[in-house]
Amino acid sequence: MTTQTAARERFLAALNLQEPDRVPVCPWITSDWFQGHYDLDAATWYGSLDAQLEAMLNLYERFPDFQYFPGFRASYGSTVEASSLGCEIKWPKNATPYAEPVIKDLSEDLPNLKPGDPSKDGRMPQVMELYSELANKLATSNYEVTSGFLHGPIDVAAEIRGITDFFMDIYRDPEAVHTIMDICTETCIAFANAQYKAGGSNMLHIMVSDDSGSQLSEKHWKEFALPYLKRLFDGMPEGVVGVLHNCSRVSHLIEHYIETGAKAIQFGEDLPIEVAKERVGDKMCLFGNMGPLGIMSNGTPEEVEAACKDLLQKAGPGGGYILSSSGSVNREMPLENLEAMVRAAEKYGTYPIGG
Amino acid sequence: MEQADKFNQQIANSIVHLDADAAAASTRDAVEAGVDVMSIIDDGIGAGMTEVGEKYQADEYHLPELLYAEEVMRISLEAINKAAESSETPGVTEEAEAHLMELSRSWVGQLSSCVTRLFRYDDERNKLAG
Repeated sequence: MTTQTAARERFLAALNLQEPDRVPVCPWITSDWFQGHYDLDAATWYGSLDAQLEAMLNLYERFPDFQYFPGFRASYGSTVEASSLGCEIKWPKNATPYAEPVIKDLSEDLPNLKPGDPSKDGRMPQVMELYSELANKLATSNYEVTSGFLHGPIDVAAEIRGITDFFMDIYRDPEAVHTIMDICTETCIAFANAQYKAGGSNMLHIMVSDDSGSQLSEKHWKEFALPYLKRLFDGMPEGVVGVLHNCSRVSHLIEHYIETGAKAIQFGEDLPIEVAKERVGDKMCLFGNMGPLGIMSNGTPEEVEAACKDLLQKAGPGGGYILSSSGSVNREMPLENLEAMVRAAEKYGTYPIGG
Repeated sequence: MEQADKFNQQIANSIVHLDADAAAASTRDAVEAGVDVMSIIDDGIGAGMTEVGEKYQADEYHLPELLYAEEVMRISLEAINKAAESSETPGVTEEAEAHLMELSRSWVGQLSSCVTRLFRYDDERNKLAG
């Protein structure tokens, strides 16, 4: 079995709640870390697929588990969904882009809001080109586009309305919130399917963020987030595993995430891994949950290895666990700490764990 | 005194229950009934906001409740000004304004810690798709 095949089987087994040969190790490395590590400014990173591809190939060939998460995928910043819904996108120098809210006045602006169309709206066509080009380039090196990513309906709604107004609308005008969520959900479904197609239809999983959702009470989340997330995961391409991301507080929501149809969740360090394992570990694959701002960025490799050992021993038994960060890795994280995570998975994550 | 307590309790309850209409009405009624404005601010609005903060700390309330409570508080304060314009009550005196500033500072402190946390998530989110 090749190293690449072993990594794929390991990842899929964990996603399917089984015990692979060992726990996959997949810290969430995104543009911030890549840019810092490879000394690329934001304009170069976002403007050059070749630069992205070279960085991913360099890292993933060294750490094969990484090709399945974060995986080979196009890097395009956080504003694509919002841009397709009419938001103006700001590009600060050396920072990730952000969206200006487009719904400033509910009565005036909401009637004009229409779902984003990936073939023509905002930055989505560019992203589709990136995915398509990436798939073509990867084919020559025997790799595939393995992952998709999008912001979930609540995150998108918070961007296009502005997070403060959006949260207050829950009390001021709940019907308007449902209208916004409906349109954002349609946009997300279209975006997920377009990514899948443009990327060569080989994606194993698509991750959806729900960070803003966890700022809601359980009652409000069930009313304003759950039905839309469920619709989104129902509308994903067939065979693709839905993965949820929420590095915020999830303790009051975590069981409900099972109802969304997602098969895996990456969650924040606020919820101890053993508690998550106990509460949802037999229903969802757990990704996590090393805080990217703590030991990962500032600890020694020995401290990282010890923290990973603890996670592996608590969440590894029984399978369905992927050793990961709870969110995207900081650019300050030293390569040595990444190596320490991988080393820990090899030393303490081989099944049977603790046997 | 009993009457003032009753009005202030109504104001506090309407803020805690995030009922903007009730907050405006009970504040207006209190001013028109001659309840001291400083007492309304401290024992009505302030007491309500303090309870909202406690509920947030206890995870009973979340960010939307915290943000909307601030809007209900503003509506209540506007009701004081409106009622004061149309009655012979002293309205918002300098002393009352000073009290209000003090109250706002402690409240802003709570809000800013929430917003800081939110910005952390925003920052995190901004990095995600990259």
